[in-house]
Amino acid sequence: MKTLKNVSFYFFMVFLIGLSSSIFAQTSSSSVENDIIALTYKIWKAENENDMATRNKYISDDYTEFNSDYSTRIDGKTKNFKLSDANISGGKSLADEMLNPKVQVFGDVAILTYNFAGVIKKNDGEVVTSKAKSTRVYVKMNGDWKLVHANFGFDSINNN
Amino acid sequence: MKHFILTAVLFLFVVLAGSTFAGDKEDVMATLNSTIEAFNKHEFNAYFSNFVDDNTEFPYVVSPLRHDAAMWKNFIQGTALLAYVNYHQQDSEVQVYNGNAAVITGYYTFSWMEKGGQMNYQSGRASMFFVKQDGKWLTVHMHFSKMF
Repeated sequence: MKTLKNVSFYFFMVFLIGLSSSIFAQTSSSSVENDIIALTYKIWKAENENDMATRNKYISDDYTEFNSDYSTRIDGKTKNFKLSDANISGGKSLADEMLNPKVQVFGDVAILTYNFAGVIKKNDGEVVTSKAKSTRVYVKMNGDWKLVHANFGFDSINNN
Repeated sequence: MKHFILTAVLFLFVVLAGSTFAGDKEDVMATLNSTIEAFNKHEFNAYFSNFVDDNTEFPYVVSPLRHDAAMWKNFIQGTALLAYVNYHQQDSEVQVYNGNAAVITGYYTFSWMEKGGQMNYQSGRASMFFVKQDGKWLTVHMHFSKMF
């Protein structure tokens, strides 16, 4: 009888450990997904407030980008910032949102995909909308998530 | 004679070591090239053996929607109805992180012929993301975008 009790206790403990590790794994993955989405909003906020020090902290030195302004890939953080910082002076972002976001996590790497929706006020006062199909790849380096690549692609519907 | 044997052994070692330690960049490019080859030959089993189960894709101009693995499988298998497909990628750059994650970016042309003989052509930019699982590089996400 005592042996049966011990066996039952043993199975209960194994079950408990299995259940808790499964819950922990789900929570952990979900937490990374939330972190990545929050980080992207943080980068947008920093850009809109010209807080380049905060933005720069989360971009890798070897960052590469495809965007809607230039046909070919822009290599390196320095070159990307030179162009994007000059572009900011052409207007002000009124809203930046990610629609339909999805984060895929593989250890220290995360891929964020979403449909970008934004509203921009140009310097002449005209308000225009902006949209894209976006992919961002983040890698955890020395404890911080850093953006290593982005593809801000053409959204075909109603674009001229 | 002794010198000759020593030289031969050293030469063999250098050749073997070079082959054994082919870099991650070369390995992940080899995966991409074999995926492209399988696609062009309509070898779908070989093609999908290079993907993780929950892969995602942003296709070219056909849709603003992200494809999940099932949508992408339907799309790729649908190309079997075409008489000819050819995907070609050039000027690829590889970024590798932590030895188990890689981004490949490049420029592609995609041409296809319908059964009636109509030829179609598309070109653009490709971002592809890979992870190494159990020693094998697998495709996680691909994003094809228009050349502006």
